[in-house]
Amino acid sequence: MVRAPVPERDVSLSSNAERLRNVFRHPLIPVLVVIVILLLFGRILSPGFLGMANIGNILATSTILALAGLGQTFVIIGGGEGIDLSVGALVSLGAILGGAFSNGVNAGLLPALGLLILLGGFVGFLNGMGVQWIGVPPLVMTLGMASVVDGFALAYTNGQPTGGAPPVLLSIGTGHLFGDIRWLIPMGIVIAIIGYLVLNRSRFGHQLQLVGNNRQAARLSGLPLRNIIIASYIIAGIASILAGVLLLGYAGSSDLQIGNSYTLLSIAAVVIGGTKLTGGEGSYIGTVLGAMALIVLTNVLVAMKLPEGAREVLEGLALVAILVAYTRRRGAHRQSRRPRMLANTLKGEAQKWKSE
Amino acid sequence: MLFRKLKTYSFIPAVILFLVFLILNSLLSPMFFTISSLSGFFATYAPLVVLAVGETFVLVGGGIDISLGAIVSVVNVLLVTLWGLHWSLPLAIVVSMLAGTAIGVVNGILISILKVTPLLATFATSAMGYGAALWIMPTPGGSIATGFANWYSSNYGWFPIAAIFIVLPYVIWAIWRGTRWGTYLFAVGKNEEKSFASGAPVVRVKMLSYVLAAFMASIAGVILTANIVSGDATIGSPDTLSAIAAPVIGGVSLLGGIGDAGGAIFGALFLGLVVNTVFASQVSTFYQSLLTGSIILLGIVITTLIKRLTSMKLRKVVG
Repeated sequence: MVRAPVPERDVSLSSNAERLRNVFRHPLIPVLVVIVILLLFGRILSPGFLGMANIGNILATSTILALAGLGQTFVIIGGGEGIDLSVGALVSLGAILGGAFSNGVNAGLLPALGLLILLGGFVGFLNGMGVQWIGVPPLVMTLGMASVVDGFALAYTNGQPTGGAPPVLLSIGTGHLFGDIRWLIPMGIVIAIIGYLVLNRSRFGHQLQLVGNNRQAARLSGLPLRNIIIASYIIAGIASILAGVLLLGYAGSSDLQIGNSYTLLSIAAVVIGGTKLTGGEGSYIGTVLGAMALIVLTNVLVAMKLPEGAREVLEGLALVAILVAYTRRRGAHRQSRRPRMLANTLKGEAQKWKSE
Repeated sequence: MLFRKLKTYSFIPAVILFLVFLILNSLLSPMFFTISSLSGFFATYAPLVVLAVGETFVLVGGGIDISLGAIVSVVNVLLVTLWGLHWSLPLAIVVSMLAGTAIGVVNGILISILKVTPLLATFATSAMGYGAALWIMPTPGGSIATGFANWYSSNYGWFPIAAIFIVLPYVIWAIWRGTRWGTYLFAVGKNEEKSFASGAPVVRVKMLSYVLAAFMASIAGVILTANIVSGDATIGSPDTLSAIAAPVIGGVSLLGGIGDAGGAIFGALFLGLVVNTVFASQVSTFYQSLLTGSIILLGIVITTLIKRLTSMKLRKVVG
């Protein structure tokens, strides 16, 4: 079978110093630095911040965002301006329908999950079809889909979500496996491993990265481009709606806007995790760490005990600082390439003029 | 030649959709074409039209701005608060518009100078904007000069005052388009590297597009306040998405370099008509947003299809 080549880092290292330098260039370093800085900051603000209970809480909430970010990572890596703005609406829908379908009873949970996976997959399929067959820009397609999904949730519930989390789901969402280890933590680890395996060790993952890296090359080498992209949107739909179910377990009950903040948070997690918004390059482990960084940030701001408005302002400021720092770092990488790109552009223009 | 033809085609789908819903609307509610109903319609949707044109500047320049809703919130809340502190109305309007435009300056600096991705940069400033609005006014309330509010929703003879704010954005756009800065904007949106190589002031052009969008959003915030006569920190949040949907339906390309404010205006009016039509059709309130969302999504799909078909036809003619 065709196995898409994965771009490898240069392994011919001449010295230990260079090897060390390369370790620091690893794409996951910045997000780790951000997490450590934020954790230390939280420790300064409140002594209990680094206690097991709080760390456990942070990891547990990160799991939900990491799952919502799973599909986002896939869609963004698929390239072609790929982005999924229906994630938040689907998280809300998952929480609302998870409660409504299961009716708050354990026996109802499995059938509800089955239905939700179908529904999430169907929404993702429609997104993928709109993007790949009709040619609607992903941003607009998924934005429009988000308002349809929101409208559907409103129509289904008549404005008042019914049911609630079944006991099993509730104990997964809030219960402890042993000690301070919550159920959500091993779950998050499993999700991270699955995401990593699918993206980096499966044929689909390799094909997706190739498609994101170079559409033209992928098409010419006969990859089923359309199906790959549509599959990435289907995965996004399913992952988001399942994240909604976990959120229901964590929160106990749902409201119509419960998951709406996840759209942009998931994109931020992907970008902070080192995945390029232009596609082709990135990792799911990065997204998981990015999700943790965002949750730690929220926890730090909560620990500061500010009014809600002030907290949001600081959250925005912190995000700006992180983004600027990131862009600077990337910029340093690109600097050496820029003059060459310019020169190539100019050369191409000159040739065009000559041929005319 | 091809480019000019494409440009004339680009907003035709929006006009068709607009006309279809205009007819539907007049069939469902025969009272639609009365002066009072029309002036109510313009008063309600003029803010969206202004926002859509503001977003058009950014989209044509190859960027995207999702902080416009937050700017509307900030201006709305600030204006109502300052009026509540017994400031004079013109001063309150100027100060709140300056605050709104300042957010655009931050966007511009982040994106054009510090090179942060537009989507995320404006997401961050939008969080800051909503936070600031919530900080200023934690619970909805307040009011604004009744004279100002009445003026906005009144008619001058048969001419609704609010309709000024549907024409004004196009005038601003047309003037801008006529200067060399308009040409630069299209060039930068089409190809940043080439524009830079040919000496266009790329940084300033991009910066200006975000400032202009924020300025338009500030106007939208002021007239929205005149329309609803109160302050609410979350008032702008649905506008962000509509402000992007309207230009896209109106044929503005998300990839930059293609589009016209006229299309964005028709797109925004189409969105308004859809809401109006669904409201007039007496569907249960719980189903209205599903119906509205579905029609808008369908509108986007149809626009894309029409665009593809016409551009294919053109290619055949040329090739």
